[in-house]
Amino acid sequence: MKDSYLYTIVFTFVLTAVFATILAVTYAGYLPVITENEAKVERAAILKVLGLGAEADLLAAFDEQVAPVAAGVPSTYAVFGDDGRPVSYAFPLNGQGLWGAIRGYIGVSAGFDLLLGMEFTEQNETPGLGGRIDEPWFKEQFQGVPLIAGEEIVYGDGLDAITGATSSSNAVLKILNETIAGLEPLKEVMGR
Amino acid sequence: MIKKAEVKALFKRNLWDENQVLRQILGICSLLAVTNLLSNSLVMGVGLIFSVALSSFTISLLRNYIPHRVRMIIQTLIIAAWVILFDIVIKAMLPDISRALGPYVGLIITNCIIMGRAEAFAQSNPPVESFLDGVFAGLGYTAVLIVIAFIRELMGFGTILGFNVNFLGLQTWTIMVMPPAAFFLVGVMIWIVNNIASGKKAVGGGKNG
Repeated sequence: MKDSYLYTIVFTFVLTAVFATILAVTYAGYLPVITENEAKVERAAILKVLGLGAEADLLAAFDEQVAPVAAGVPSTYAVFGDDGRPVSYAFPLNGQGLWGAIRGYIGVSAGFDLLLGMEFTEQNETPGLGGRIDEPWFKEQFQGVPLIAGEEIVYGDGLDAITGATSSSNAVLKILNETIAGLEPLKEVMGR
Repeated sequence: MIKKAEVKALFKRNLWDENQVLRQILGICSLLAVTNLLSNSLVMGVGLIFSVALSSFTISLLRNYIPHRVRMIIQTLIIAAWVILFDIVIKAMLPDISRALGPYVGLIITNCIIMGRAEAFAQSNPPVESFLDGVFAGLGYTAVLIVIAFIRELMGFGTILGFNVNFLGLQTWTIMVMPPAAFFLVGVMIWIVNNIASGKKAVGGGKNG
């Protein structure tokens, strides 16, 4: 009986249904927490690339410090100075890493001539190798890199790729350069 | 009910005599990846203990009902379900660590240790024994992870659990941060453990190996 086709099929179906239900219920239950965690990571990344720091009290006051701006690029944020003019912008960073999507934000000065920082909100690179793109020393190297129209950022001269993770390092650079190139048309409208 | 001596025997077998990493050379892939930081290793260890224990328990509970020809598919299904559950829980509770481990949580599913315990033990033993066997097998794996991660983090970053202990400002070894270091260390560990084990046998005499 146990080895009959019918039993095998019914057993497999029932068991799959039971486990799928357990997982679905658990996920649905935790979804608000997971969404909130992801939003927190997102907000922290935005604050960090704008050079504001991401301590708990700053995170809570997120809306007071930065404001979303309509820039043709969704989820763009800006910090405004006392005179009401933007001081810096945070633009989303999207692209393909070695193994999966890499998402994050870059901070750019209002004049579009200086990279203020880079943070990742999602990356699936190999932990211990490509995953090291998320380590502070790597990301901090990009602070203060000048942005020159028509010129791509390259490794070397104070900007190091990660040993043993060439593909992930290059993927990050490629995404960064593509994102910056994509900002070129905005420079006319928003830059000053 | 399971006897105390049995628990002890299971414990000793999984942590020493048949240690999953050092004696059976299983779970090496994840070991290479996560042991550059102690904190990642600890979470990976907890994740594996949780997954292997509950998978073994579930498989053992169902062992008399699982049709033989789809046995391994069912085992994989059960293992995957528990691992995804773990993934969801740490995403909600420990988001930072979940981010650091990235795809490796999902890859616990393919850790040979879980399938190994399912086939070698849970398939033919009662649930409580299987659960304990899973816990101990996971502990054996975690213990090796911790030893290797301790050495790698100390020498590669000069930190222990993220705290700087490099008071003298000594040069850290980049190689220790990279996976080859885990290969060297695990090789040395296997050599030492094999030596101790075979030495014991020679002294003990009558033990069957």
